[in-house]
Amino acid sequence: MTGRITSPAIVVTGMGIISPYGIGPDILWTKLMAGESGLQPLTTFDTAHIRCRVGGQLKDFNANRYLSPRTVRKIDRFSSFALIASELALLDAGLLVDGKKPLWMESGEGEQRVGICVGNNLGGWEFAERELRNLWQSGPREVSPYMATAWFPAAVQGNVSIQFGIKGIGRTFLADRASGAMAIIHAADCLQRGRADMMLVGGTEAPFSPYAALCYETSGLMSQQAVSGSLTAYRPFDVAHDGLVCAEGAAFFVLERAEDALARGATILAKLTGWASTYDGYNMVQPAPDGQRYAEAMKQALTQAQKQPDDIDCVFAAGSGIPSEDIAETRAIRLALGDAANKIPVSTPKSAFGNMFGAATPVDMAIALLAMQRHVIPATLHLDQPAPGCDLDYVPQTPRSVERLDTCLINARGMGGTNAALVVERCS
Amino acid sequence: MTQEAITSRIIAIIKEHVGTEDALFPETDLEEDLAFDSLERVELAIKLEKAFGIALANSKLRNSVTIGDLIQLVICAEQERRILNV
Repeated sequence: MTGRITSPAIVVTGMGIISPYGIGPDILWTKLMAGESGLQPLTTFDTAHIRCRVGGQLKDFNANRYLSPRTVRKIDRFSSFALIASELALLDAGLLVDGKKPLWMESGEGEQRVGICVGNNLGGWEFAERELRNLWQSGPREVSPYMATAWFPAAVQGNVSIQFGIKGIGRTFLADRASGAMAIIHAADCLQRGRADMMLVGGTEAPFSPYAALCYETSGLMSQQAVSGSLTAYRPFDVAHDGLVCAEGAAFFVLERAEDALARGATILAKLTGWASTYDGYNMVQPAPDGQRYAEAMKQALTQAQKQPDDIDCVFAAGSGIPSEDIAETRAIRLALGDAANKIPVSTPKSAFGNMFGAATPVDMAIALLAMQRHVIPATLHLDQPAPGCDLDYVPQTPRSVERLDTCLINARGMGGTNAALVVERCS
Repeated sequence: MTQEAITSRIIAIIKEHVGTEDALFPETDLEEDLAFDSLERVELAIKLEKAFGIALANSKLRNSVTIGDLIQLVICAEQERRILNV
């Protein structure tokens, strides 16, 4: 017997997004196509103690419009984002019976075979900071008992699993800007190994509160141009790049094995055919400048997807905008794709609205899916002139219509060189 | 404050807390009917303590099954407070 064991194909059957532009994929896509910045001056909290003055903030968001006030009182903003994005993903996947409850809750069957994976970086500091203020100013009686469950990163998986009756695998991943990628990778692995029949997976981040914003600022990785309130401060691969600008939001997906999705008549949005992660083992903050291990993640993802570099129609870069990281990512893409890197577009659409950290890769994946449906590659905004050492086709300033956009490589890289790569394919 | 007044005030507080216009009764089950979890009991207890100027024992709070049990807890705590104030 020499037959090759074929792994089951993993498909995306539902998608829900909250971006700084608003709720849902349509507004995200429309704004990206229009080249509108999602960055705004930070006004919803006191920024006197930090230098950064802009971010991808969802300013008119009122969780009470989507969730009961009783629920909102118990959770942080990052859980609200996740609950809403999850509901949208389940709805998109045709899994909500009456617009609220999933099929498995209605029938009481199969809930142990549904799992959840969440990527997050900071936790729920808006809630935590409010309650800490209550503690110091008014005493312990004024602290919400929900402090015990609201603020920590795994709170999201708890809240979502309770809300939607998910009783299978539950995992939360913290890997800086690669957190969401790690969640997607684990969810896909779980499906392929038969440990679950359906996975709700995504990432969420809500970094706009005094302490959370300070944590990012003290990392030294934020753009100094944001100090002046510049709405073009996030400039991946540009000669004036000098760091990140953070954003808030969430993106969640329903993943299934293709055979299961087809059997239930689901609409397949895309295939997830390759994934891999590596670690640099180099430094607590800086990723390895040689890009070797980062490239290895991309190569392994391509191998799993059974793709050659020439098969890739677009790379969605991590694009941190941190000068050393932009150069290292360019180097890694060249190492992974070889000569093909000269002709493959490498876009960083998040330059328009900011980096969502734990939700960064899920939002990139959502944009990749939308791009493949429309045969248009969103642009890398704020890229006027490529920086030295950044010599790829970064799709600057203007979206690009293309004839073929069937296969995308999505990169993720977190602090200290936590590398991940995904391959997604359009479903014909 | 009469027992009726205490009952009426507690029910009003709970209705506001859970955001319902439905009628609530002393027999209403906190967990089964109103989906209270252990943390929400603590949250409600703090509201009741502030409203009535009393302290509620955690162990008794945990054993409260219905709104009626909470009413009895508050009545007892009120009586204790009065005795201590005499």
